[in-house]
Amino acid sequence: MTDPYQVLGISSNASDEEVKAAYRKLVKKYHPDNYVNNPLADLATEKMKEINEAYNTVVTQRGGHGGGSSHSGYSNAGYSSSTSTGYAGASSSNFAHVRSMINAGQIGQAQSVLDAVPISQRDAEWHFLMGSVMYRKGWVNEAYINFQNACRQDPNNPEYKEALNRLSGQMNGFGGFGGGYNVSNQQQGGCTSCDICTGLMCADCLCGGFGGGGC
Amino acid sequence: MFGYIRPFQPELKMREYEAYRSVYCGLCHTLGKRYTFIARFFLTYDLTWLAMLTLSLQQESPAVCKRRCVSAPFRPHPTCVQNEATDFAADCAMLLLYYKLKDNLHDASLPHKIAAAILLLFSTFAKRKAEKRQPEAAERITKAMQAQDLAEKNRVGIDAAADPTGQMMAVLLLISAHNTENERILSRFGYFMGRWVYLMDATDDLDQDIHSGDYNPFACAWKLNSQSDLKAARKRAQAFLNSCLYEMQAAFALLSVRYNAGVMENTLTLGLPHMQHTVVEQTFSKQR
Repeated sequence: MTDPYQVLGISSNASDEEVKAAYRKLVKKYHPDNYVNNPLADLATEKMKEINEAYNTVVTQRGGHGGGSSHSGYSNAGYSSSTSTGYAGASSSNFAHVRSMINAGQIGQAQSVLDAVPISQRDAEWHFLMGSVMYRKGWVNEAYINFQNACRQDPNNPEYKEALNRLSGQMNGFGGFGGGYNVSNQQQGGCTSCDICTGLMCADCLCGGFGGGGC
Repeated sequence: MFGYIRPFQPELKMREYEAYRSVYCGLCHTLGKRYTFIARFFLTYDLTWLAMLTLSLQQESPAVCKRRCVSAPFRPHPTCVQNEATDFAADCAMLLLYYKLKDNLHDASLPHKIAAAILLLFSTFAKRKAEKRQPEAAERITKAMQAQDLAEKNRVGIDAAADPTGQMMAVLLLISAHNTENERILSRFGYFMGRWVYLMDATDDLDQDIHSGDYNPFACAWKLNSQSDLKAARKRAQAFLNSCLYEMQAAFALLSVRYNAGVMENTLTLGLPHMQHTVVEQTFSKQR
């Protein structure tokens, strides 16, 4: 087994607080929410498992200092079982086979099945799945348009709304791996809070723009 | 390529800067050795980065020595010795230069056309040599350029226009790294890096393309003309650039990097966003 301290990126004489801080930072980085619908999601889950194991080992070794018991519960319950990639759980799906193709990473195949659906039968779910296929391909613009259409056709579906909100967050630089906003503002020495506000307003417009379903 | 991919220097640690510099100088020397001194003028940041990423995935980091050159005749710079990664990057530089010059021959102004025509003599010779050294990369680059031409002729959408460059970068990264352990990660990372570079170039050239009537994915998709608010259009383009940065960072986080993690993280979290900002705000050309 690899050295748990190495996994957490700290030295073995780090304080309990440092261990906790390092763990939190890694959890934030590899959180399944950052990899929803990402073809690399399985690798992130694996990494998360490794981090949880390392943290639990360190906490156990240190005899439960720093709230070990509560934290092992936290990690077991929270992040090892990812709820994020689950297309399978959707009820009454017309496209169950497409969902399983996407889950299996057969993106080309899923796309050709979707392409073959006549335009009159392209419902909200079709658009959502097409958006997911496009996202995995890296065609973010098409993904965005399809998620928007899905939400327009079925404004109350939380799955579609979440996909759209997530993608607009990434496009506005507010995703888990914050984008360009902060940095460039520092460089320019401009009015940071102002830019954050406009950014948020933009994000809000994107979320609220369709069929009245705000975020 | 375009030189968009570089670290944000003020935030680099001294040792990170030296490590980056050693790859930069190493690639420059490799270019000189493999393609005569003329090639050294076509050293790019983008390919330096490609070489550095490749090196960082290998077991051993390459030896570094101090070397003088024309731009630093008195104070020798740390320079990594010629290796497979710098060889590959140098060969790619020559292949890409050829297509860039050919492109200039069509699009650019008259003085640029004349310069391109003269350089093309050298470039054709260098390209032939590079093709022999990297047949696979040469084939993929040629294919990507053909796909790009076709896409632009058909005036396709934003995603389709960026696809050839994305795929090209993904393949080049895979060939360069020949690292099966990280293949999926590198492929996604490379795709978004190529996509980002292409969309950056499109954002940078927006005004120029609209005036000259050349194809520009944003102008085409958003039906822009010379009366449109191009500043707003560039801001809108930023959303697409941001999503590429997000994907690159998400992929990079999963990569098992052995060296130079600091420089590369700096590039992804500071360098590229900074560059993006200067392009969106149109201060980049002046800097260059």
